[in-house]
Amino acid sequence: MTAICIANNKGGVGKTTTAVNLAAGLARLNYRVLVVDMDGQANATYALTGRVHPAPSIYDVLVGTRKIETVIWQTNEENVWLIPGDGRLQNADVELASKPAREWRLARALTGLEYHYIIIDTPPSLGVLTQNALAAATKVLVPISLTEFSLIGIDKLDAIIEDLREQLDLPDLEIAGVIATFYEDTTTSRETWGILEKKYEDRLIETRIPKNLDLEKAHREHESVLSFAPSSTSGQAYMELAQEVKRRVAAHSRPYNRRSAQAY
Amino acid sequence: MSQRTRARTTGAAPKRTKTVANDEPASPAALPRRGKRKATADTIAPANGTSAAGVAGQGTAMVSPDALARALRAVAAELERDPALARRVASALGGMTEGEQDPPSAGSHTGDADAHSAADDAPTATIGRTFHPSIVTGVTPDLGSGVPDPFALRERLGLDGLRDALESLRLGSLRAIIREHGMDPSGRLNKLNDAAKLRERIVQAVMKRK
Repeated sequence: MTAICIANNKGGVGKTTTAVNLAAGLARLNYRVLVVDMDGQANATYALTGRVHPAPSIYDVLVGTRKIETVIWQTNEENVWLIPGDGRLQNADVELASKPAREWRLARALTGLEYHYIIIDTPPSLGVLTQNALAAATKVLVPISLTEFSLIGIDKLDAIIEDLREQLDLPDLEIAGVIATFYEDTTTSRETWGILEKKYEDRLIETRIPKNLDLEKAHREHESVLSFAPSSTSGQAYMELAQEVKRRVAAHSRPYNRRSAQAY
Repeated sequence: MSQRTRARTTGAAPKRTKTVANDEPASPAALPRRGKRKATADTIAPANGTSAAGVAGQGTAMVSPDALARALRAVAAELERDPALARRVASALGGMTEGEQDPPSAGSHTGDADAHSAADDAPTATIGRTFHPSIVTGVTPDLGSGVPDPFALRERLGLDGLRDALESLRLGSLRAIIREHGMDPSGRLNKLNDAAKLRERIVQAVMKRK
């Protein structure tokens, strides 16, 4: 089992869209994929099941009132399972503040589950939910939109992950790739891509995700763009992304076991 | 996509969504403006029905009522004097007031009839690209977790209840039901983007199994 956290403290960069469609792409490569929706907006939950803020959810697992096995859902995508999120996650920072080993609650809950990949969607913040997601993952994928605002504060992202690596003692946590999203054939997109290429070099994922209405339409139909419009530019891009992620982050069939989590 | 299909998007089908669907303008270009106007009214109008000016007054407690009234009168006079400014302010607030139109970009139109004829002349190619979002309030009735089980739904809600439940589901969920319950051995339905046909196929399969 390989756990991948989709993170960026900026909102609107395509984290949820990437989590949903990457999961569907990996599933089409015959992997069993579990998506964990750690965002209080629960958009990944909606996109994969059509349900709005269902309960119980991962929130109940994090606060210790449910076992994780009881909140795993089959989704509309074949070979993709989901641990849904709901609006109560927005209070999680406060509610988990006094809990012991609060950053490790997700990793501990996931222990023993058997999937090839776990994809963890995170909120656009660096609170306790994102810390749980990073602690549970070994690899981080960072979607960055190729828009004017995307470069503001981007240099802080590496530092933030470095800080967390030290704080939570996660020596193996690393950025496996930076994914360029909202690509358009414009000067801004091309120039931003060029800057990212220089900054991230081989960590920049080659596949660019185009800005495309089919992605929105697919969310609305409660399925991935690979189901809704597989031959669209975004459908093809997400399939290519899945291939690239598969090459960069190998899947394991062993049950999930984050060694650090056992220490707490 | 038909109006009926759009109205179903909300699941709970609140009245407001239905109204939007029923009197939806023919012009694709007009729809975002309408949506924006509605959202603005909801956002700006305070819950107790007082005016936006009233809200502004509450937010500036340090300003005397006379001074506030003078300031608002001065702003109103300036807006009346300068229609371009009025349009920019209205646009910044999120929409025009009822009955007003955006400044024409090419030629001019003065009423609904013109607006409709403009819509009729609009190239159809843009219609397919138009996205019609609507308010999502949740799915009813309760479908349990995971992929809905149409057989259990029929058991619990009856055939009409099952049909209602299926009406609230979108393509992804319908395809998942068909896949998970082996209703399409040929795999042909999987590529169909017609929700009505998928619903009918599910109902047929459920009735057959009885």
